Amino acid sequence: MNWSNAHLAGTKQVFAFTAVQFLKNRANIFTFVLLFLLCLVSAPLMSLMSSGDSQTALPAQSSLSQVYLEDETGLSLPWQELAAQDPFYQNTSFLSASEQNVSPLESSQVLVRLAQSESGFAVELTTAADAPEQSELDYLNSFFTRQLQLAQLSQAGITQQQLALLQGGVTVQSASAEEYFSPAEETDWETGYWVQMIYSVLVLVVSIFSVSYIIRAVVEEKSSKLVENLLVSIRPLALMLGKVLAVMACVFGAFAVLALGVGISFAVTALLLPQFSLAGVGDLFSHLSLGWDTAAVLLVSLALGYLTFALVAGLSGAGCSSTQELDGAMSLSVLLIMAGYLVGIFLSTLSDGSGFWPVFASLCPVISVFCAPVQYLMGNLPFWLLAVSWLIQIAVIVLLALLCARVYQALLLYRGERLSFGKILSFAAGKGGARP
Amino acid sequence: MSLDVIDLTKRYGGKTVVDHLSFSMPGPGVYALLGTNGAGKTTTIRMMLGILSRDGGQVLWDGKELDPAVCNLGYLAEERGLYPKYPLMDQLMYFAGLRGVKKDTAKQRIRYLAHRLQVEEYLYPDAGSASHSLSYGSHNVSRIQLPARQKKQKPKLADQLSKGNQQKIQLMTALLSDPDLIVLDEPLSGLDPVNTDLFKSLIREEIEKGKYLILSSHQMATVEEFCTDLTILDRAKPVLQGNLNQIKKSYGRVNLSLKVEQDIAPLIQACGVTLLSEKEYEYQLKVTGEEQANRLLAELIARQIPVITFDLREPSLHEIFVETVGGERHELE
Repeated sequence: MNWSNAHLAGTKQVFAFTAVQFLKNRANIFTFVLLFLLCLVSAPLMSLMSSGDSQTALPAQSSLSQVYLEDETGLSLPWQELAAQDPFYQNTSFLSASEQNVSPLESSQVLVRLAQSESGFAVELTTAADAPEQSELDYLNSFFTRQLQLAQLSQAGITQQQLALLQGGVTVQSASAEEYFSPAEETDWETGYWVQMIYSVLVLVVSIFSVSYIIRAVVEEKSSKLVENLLVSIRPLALMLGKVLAVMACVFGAFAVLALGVGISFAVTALLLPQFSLAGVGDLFSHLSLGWDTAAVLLVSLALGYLTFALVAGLSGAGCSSTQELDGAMSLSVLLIMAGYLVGIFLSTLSDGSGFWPVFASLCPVISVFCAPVQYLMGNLPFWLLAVSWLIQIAVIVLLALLCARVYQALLLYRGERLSFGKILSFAAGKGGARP
Repeated sequence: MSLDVIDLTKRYGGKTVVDHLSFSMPGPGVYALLGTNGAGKTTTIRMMLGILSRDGGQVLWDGKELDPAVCNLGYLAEERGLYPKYPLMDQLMYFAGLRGVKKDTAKQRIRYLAHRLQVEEYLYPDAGSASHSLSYGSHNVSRIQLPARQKKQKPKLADQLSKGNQQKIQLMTALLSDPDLIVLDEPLSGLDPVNTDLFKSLIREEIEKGKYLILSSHQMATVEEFCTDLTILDRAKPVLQGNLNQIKKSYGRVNLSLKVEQDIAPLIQACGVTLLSEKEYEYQLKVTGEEQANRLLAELIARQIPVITFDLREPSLHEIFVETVGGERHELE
């Protein structure tokens, strides 16, 4: 078995057939449509779920155009001047209600009545039927309360210095010893952890979804006794590669469309809800060395990771002879993916980005799928080491593809219980395939 | 073109399952591989097509090692299968693509074969009545048109078909590329008489077109109907090989079917003829040759016994097979 044209002839036909059947599959269509809809509503959903926070998260400037005042406190405070000191009210006019016709109120106008009460002062806000956001009104309320309290204190004879002392609060901050002594490293660690987590979950989802499809395709072909007919026209290597590449194209295409769905969702939400912001997400990734090559690095790494696990799945599927053995065959591939994922996450929490472990994790097959691109994007791995990691992965993929084809041929007519991975390898080592 | 199988050998562990088998087809025709169950027929075919590895031997097509991916070859495997959940038309187009058949040619060929095997309703579920003719080679096929205002039907899947109809689709996959070399492993097993005739007519058509056919079957009458040369395998070894007519001639005309209107058993015994069976004065006899048969006939005439049937013929392939394999087994035992 080798990597020659004769062994690859027919890959295109297998690719096209597998891709078409993948896209025609009702379960796949249903799953994709469901996921796409979820992506489309992801941003509004996030906004809705964090609506408690969004009340306090005010925009940079108030949306109120006029605040009409009926000041019966007798303090005669210069409200327009006081408001001008608050950047939030830069574009808001504070006017006396007696001088204006305030009926009826518009949505961006508020009528405020300030009066004296038994316990101090009373603030009463009147709005139009379509009132401004509650957070706006809360802030306005607190603005007047604060100013009236300050005026009371001032009346009681407290000096400006004493006032400043009274206004000064106590700031409480908790931090780990590592963060205290090296704050930059601590922020890097957090970013690294989250990036590792997000990328690993992406690889995990893509791999597990694809692996299950590939194993099913291989086992169904064997159990339906089709493979003997197929292998008269095509070599096992082409049969396996065509399948694996077709599923890769479909899954990657689907994920690209889903990502587009998320992008559309965020863009539309930001347009319709001005207070919706991605600032937090931006802060988290500000420590990454993101550049023109980021997308390419992630895409190549994801593709290599996918191919590694897909070929392991093909190998595992080749040891089965009936669809009843699917679950058993799938467990090995899923275990391998999970092991790579967990070790990747563990190593990202273990190390500070320097030393032996990041390099080891980035070069070791299976783990490197999860670690290498993240370590590179975090700036912990030079590009040449990332390239070495890719080369190792490509070598593993080529070996797995040849092994897969050999096992496929050797176990072509095998009928019996599912073979363990060890037995599959011993079959491959023996004399199986007809075509050298 | 010619096909030469030279010293083909296969061993599983210490057991030889095909032992130095050689045969050749110098020209078009049908070569039959016969044998008892487990004699090595399917293993031989699989080795020839490169599906199984060989422990020895060569398979030459036109003087060069046979490469099924390069040679225009059609194969109907003994273990048949289709993708159960994929549309039939997609599968046929896929197999055609794998054999390098262009789309338009494949569509034309599928339509023709579907018509010949009477599976149009499964491949063209929206089709109505035939309206006009389409020719493919020297044959005519009815072109099918969609009836107006009819709800479009879903394409048929393999698991919605009966076993016989699935077998027809599988034969179509084997013949899609209009192959030069056609290998049919037990093509008629499990078919009803009507479908058997459909298959036979298609096989006959391929023979008329000058194709090379290798046929493995247990149905001796069918093999006898088509084949010119054969090999009988028993326990991995070829026990009888050659041209069917010559083999039959070598046995001579020794089977006598005789029908009279009275009991002639004593006369048969007196003439030294072997009685195989008798039913209502219809005797199946084994003679040593034409002389002994003529002597028996002369005796019947001399005794004025009316003879209704007197049929002296060569042994059938079935008889040769049973005698060859049974005899071998008897000797071994």
